[in-house]
Amino acid sequence: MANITGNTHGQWIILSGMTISLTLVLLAVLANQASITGFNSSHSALEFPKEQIRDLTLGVRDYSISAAKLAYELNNTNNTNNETVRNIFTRLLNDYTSQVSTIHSIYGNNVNVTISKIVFNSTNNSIDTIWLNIYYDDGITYFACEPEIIEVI
Amino acid sequence: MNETAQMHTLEGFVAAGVILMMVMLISENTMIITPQCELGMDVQLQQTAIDVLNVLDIAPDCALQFNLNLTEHVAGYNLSEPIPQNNSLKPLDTEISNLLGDILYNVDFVYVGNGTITNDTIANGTITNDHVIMHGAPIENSMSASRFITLYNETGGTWNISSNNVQVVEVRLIIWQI
Repeated sequence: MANITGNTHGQWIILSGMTISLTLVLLAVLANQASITGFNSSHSALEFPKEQIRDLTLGVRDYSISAAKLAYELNNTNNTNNETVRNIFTRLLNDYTSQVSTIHSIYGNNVNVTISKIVFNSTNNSIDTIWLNIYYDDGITYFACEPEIIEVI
Repeated sequence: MNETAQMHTLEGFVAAGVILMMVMLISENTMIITPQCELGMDVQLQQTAIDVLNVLDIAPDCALQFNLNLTEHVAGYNLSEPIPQNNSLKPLDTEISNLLGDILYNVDFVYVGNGTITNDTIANGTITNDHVIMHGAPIENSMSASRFITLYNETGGTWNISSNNVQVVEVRLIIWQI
């Protein structure tokens, strides 16, 4: 025992051994982190409903503009007032929302669109701006746009 | 300074190099078959499906081979004819095939009602799923992407839509790679 403790040769071997073991530990940690990062990023990209939300918002925007113009045309035909345009627009939007919501329910998503405010043109009965609340919920991600302001050109 | 065991030190470095190379070789080989890399491929596949639907829907008509966008393709679908149909579905099939290359795909049209949209059909919420383009049975790692399009009375076709109603159709593209 005295011989072993008193022997100071081979210091470089011990140091290199330590360096090797520390390098291996570092590499193992890095490899592990890379795998976890790859898994998390791929999983997040698949889980997060970015495209569904974008498609919903764009669809509602496009449809609202068309529905506002259609409501105005139907109003002109019947020669009535702002309130009639509002009622026609509300019915058209509800029809659209109901269908979109039903189709989204196949995937277990909850979708809803409500009217917050409608601004009419002061000179005629046409709709200038629509304020909508858009909700999307797939159980993990909840999205609410309160309000989505749509300018009818 | 203790200068003994220099050869052992050099051996240590060489051994470290060999172990390092082995670890890298093993880790790189195993990465190919790990589930997370499979997920990465799924992400790419899904993004491809989303891009195809975006291109078909947003691109100007002149940029596409048949001068038809996605809404016009769907409007031309004949609900009463059996599949495969020799109408707008054929150009749609060709457009998707051009964009996807070797990737296999199916297309579904999903909508409320049975092609005749009324307040009753909306209220009932019955859903129809038509498999309009079929290229086989999807495999385990298939991915899907959807795009909602809206049909009006003016868009024409065989859809029975009155002037004050709309029909929402989900175009679902299912793709997979062998």
